[in-house]
Amino acid sequence: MSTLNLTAIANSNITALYKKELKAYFNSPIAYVVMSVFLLMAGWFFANDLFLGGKASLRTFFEVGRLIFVFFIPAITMRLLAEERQSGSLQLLVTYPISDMEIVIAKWLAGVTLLAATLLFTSIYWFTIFLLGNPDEGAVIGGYLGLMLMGSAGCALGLFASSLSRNQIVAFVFAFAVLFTLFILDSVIVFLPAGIAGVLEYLSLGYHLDNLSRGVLDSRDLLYFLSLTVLGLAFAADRLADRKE
Amino acid sequence: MSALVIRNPEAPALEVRGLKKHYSAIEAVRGIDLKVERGEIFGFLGPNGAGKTTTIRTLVGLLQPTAGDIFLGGFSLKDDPVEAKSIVGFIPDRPFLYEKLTGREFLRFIAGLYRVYDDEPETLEERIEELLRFFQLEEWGDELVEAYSHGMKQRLVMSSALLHDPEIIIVDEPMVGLDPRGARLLKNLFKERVRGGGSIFMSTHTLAVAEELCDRIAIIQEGELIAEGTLQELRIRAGMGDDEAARLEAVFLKLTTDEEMIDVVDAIRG
Repeated sequence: MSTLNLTAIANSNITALYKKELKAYFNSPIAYVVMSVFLLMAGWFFANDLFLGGKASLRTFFEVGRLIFVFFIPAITMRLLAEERQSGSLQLLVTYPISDMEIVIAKWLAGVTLLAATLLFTSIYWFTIFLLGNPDEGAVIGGYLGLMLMGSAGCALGLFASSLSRNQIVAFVFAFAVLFTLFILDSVIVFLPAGIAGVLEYLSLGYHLDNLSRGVLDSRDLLYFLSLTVLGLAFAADRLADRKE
Repeated sequence: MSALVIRNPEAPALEVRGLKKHYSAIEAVRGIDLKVERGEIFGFLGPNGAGKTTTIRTLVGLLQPTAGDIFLGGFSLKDDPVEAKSIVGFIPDRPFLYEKLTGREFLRFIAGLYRVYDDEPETLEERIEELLRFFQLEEWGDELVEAYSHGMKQRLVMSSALLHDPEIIIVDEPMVGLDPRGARLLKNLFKERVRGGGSIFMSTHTLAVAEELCDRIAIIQEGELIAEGTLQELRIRAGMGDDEAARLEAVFLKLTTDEEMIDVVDAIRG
């Protein structure tokens, strides 16, 4: 994965496109609307647990957060390539000295940064529960790591969805369908034979997020999210190259 | 404008070998070879549907050739696309830009993609101001591109194509959307670039512009190059070698149109 070498990224023309994408997010209402909705919903569940349930825990926040991400991620990734195709600017972008993979990585990084910025606002929950109670630090760190890994994989898959069409709605629906399927897989396995159920369980987001939110850092979980991320980015770059055929 | 640095001076500015481009059953470009030397303005002409746009889109990496090789300043577009594109300034006929950036932001973004003036932010700003002034966009530099007219967008694209001092400028229909003053500005700029060792590959329907500017001209028809050379060489190729006053338009029509059609055109003109 030399393409994901951070030093190379910092020194490359990826930075220019990454900055432009971040600016595009914050120059349009989409970042503010989506972040506000996420924080409002997550905040409600957190406050509910804290004040009504009397629990100084982030467990419900992490469980609800992953469901909100299933809607949230397609909303922030749908425009990344579809809008460029729709406006025609992709035609100019690909004539500049930047490879298809670099374009994809720059846009993916912008999406991941927006997710990270959103999660950063929830650090107030973390401070609150540490002030009021004695939460399991491993579970909190694991929970955040899980959401970030899910966000990273989701942004890559959302970017692939955005590369499929010039229509942002189509991109949203496709990304949502993929993430929702991965999200509910572990809920349907009870109806299936053990062999298939095992495979589907490994493919489900919940199985890996549950491990992380217990504070268990397993290389298989990391490999799962890394694989989804790499696959999403590779497919998106491949679709981008398809314009040339 | 600043001085031009040529990285592989021994290599031609642009070389195309056996270029073919097929769309399913349609052979848009059927194996063309051409070479643009340093310090040359090269005109690329042809009737509608001849394969001009497909060729240009292939030269700048928008389309993948079905067969053949393209070398830009000695760099293979297939094997070393980022290096090859880094020495080119492309001016498309339709300026698709990022509407939510201002003119100055757009130029800074392009500088970042070309990685020029990375450590010299002040020099970059000076260069941007120089280009905006040259293309009469100085007062519009802080306005969003969405507020620009077609001609202003075209001039902004031209500014961005010159920002990194490209060795070769590939331009599709350069005069579209430009008023006479802008057109004159561009012609002078092209002449200045080639005097400094740069090269221009220009596709156009405006034969008067090609006649005025181009050192050599290639004519493509039905995906094949049917003629290439100086205007005088094209006159000879068209059987008009004795007529030194013969304009490019007449030569072009002679080479690309059958005799009956030429008679019809002459009759219409009276």
